[in-house]
Amino acid sequence: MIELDRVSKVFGAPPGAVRAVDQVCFRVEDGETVCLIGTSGSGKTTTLKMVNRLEEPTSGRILVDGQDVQTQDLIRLRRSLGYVIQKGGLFPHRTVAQNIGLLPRLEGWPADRIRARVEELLDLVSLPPERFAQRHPHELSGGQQQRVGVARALSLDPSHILMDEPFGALDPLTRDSLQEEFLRLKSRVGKTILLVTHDLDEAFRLGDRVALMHEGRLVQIGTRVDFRLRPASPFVEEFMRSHLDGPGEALALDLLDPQAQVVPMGENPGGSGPLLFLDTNGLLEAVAAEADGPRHENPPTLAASARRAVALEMLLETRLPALGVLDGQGRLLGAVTPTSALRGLQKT
Amino acid sequence: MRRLLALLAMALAILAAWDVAPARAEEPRPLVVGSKQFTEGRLLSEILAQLLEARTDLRVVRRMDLGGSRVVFSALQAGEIDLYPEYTGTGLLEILGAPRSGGPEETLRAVREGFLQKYDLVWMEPLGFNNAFAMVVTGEKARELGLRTISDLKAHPSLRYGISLEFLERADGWNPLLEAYGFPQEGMTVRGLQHGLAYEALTAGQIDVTNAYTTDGKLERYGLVALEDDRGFFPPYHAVPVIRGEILRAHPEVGRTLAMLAGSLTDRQMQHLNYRVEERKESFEAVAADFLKGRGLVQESRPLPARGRSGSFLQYLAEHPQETWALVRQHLTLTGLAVLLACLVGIPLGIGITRWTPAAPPVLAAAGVIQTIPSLALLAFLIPVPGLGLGGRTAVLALSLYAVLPILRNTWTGLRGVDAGVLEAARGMGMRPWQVLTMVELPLAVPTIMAGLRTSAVITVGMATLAAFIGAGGLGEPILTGLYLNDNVLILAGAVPAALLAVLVDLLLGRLEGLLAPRGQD
Repeated sequence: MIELDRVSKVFGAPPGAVRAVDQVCFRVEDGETVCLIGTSGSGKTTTLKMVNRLEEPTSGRILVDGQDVQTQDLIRLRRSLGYVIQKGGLFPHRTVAQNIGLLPRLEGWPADRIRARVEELLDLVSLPPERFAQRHPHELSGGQQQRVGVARALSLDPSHILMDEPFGALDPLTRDSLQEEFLRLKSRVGKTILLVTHDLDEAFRLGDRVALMHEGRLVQIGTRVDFRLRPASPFVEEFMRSHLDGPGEALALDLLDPQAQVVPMGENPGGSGPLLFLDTNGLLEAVAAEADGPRHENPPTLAASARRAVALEMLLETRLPALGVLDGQGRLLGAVTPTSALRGLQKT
Repeated sequence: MRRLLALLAMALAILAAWDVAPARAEEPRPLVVGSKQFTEGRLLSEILAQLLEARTDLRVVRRMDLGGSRVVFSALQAGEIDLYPEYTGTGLLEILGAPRSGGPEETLRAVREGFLQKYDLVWMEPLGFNNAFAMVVTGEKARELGLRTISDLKAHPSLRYGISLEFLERADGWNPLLEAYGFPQEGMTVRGLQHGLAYEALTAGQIDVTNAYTTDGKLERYGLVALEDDRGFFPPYHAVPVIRGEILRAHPEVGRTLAMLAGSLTDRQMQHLNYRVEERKESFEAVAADFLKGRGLVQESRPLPARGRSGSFLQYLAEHPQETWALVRQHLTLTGLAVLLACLVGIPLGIGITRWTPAAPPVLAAAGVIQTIPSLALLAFLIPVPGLGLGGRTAVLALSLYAVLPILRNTWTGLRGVDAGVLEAARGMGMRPWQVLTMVELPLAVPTIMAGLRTSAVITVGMATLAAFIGAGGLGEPILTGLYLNDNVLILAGAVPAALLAVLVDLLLGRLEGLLAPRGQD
């Protein structure tokens, strides 16, 4: 577990002092991935670097597994926290195997144990050791370098990993496949991960939770549903809109129709929007275009994470006036309607 | 990285083991005869040395060709040499910095008193001749313009002057001469040049007037006319052996021996001896031995090599393989040690200023300033420093001072050029500061550091020819001798191997760079 308790960082001295991080509190639970996101200058990278003390906080405490990082030996602390940076930060004069095996070597592991560990890690990040172990970083693609960077961070099997824009410098296709791989890896190794990114899509895709920072402050921390349905401030709302409401990027969650009303069976509210009727267990039973219109029983539903294309396809196929959207726990979040499904596609 | 360290350690061991001034520590202490770097000075020193060898039981060591008055005098003061022939005028005006004090007798009395009081140095009896300065023109020019005295020069403002570098700077030299004769303040064409080159320039018609010495053997050969010093400007320059008082007290026989030479040479005789060395290409040793034998001062004469030669410098090199090889070895040793010393200072200093950056601008500036100090001035400053003196140590130190800048600067540049992301990864993953330095930063900076080392080594190979000025040997020796003997073969015999060495060193270091450079760099 990583815990930040009212952590602040001030650069420089008054009057020119800059408060880069301001009273930030949050936790990364064991096995959880939290993505720190924000505009540049929001303090997200500084926050990350204070965990492994590449930056020292001006005030506040950071605990890793309950222990204050300030009281720990710096070198031991850093070796207990895997660290991955943009472009991998590989040592260009060392082979892949030497890069990955460096910390084990400094820890005094015997050579055969190092070799075994390197091979194990290369397998883990899908780089066949016999082909990649003896290469130098410049002989690898950007994505391969980043995989080696991840393998190197895992070499001492740390329970926590800090990642600073790990996929930031990659082309979209490579980034996509590496994100996929990250999710697969995450489920296999079960690490506690704090990851900095400036890409909101990536943050929601990789993170169990997302922490949004703005001007040094933590604005909101939560899931995608939290950010969409319960934005903490107009800034969050605006941030979500500007970063997610583009063609192709929107998910069902982002396309909820505010006109749609959820009502218990039997009630008949006023208004003109489409209606979603619940049964006595609170589950969706029927949808209707309007209060007096025909009711469609047992309608199909959409997952909150379904892409816009899926929503449109289902609307066309079913000819329903609205599709219920469910979150991961099966709770009804709202509805996508033919009007809302097209939101953001027309020029206004 | 480890290979680099091993290399440095090995070189350090060599430096520690190598005694660059073997003449200093021996027992019993030999008598060291020094000389200035020009024909007459060296010839007189050779005469003194041979006489002392024949007439005393002392072992005599020669440290010839030590440059100008400043350098030789510094050496005498520091006890690096025990005696050398100096001129009364030079001693008075140049070394004591005293005003002129009349004729030959007064001048001699003044330097005797001054040197004894200030330095415990004794002026012996004058050798007889007066090697005064003179302004000379070609006989042709003298007839054409009717030049007879120095004052006559004023009537011809279009004359071009080529003045030796030493004369330009002397307290009894060029500017006071102009003042004494009332030359116009401006409008004269004056170039500074090496004295040995002035005669060629004069006969080639590139200059019209130069300064010379009245006993110069070349006056006759080039048909030059010395203009009369009609205002009595030039002080008397009688040659006198100058010796450390300590030596006279410990070895009175040295004084008695030197007294045998009192008044033994006239101006014309001296001019003739100079002529034999410079124009007839006889060796210093042979001319000196001949002179001493002729005066009955030395009975038997040693077999001596003839110095007369003709042909190209290639022939010279082919005929003197051992000498050349010894000079090359000396040259390489000087260069190698200097560059090594520069590495030992420059690399750690370069690392230091990347750790503590406020020190970087002043340190780099200081290294830059050292580069601008004229090399002969630096040598003159270093000679009196205890433990340095004449010879290898001073030369190595001076050369390494010049060699330090490229190494220092490239170390600094190389380390600062290491990718920030790589450094952050190294620190963030938990490497200790010295591990980051030795395992990441230095290996990545090796190509840049090696480039600096190459530059530095090539510069030093060239600079090391100056070591000959302070008797440290190397390929500068034949160049220097060639310059004042006006002997192109000798100059080339030093210059061409030195140039080849520079190329060779650059090639070898290039190979070494290839071996040391980290793999896997684009």
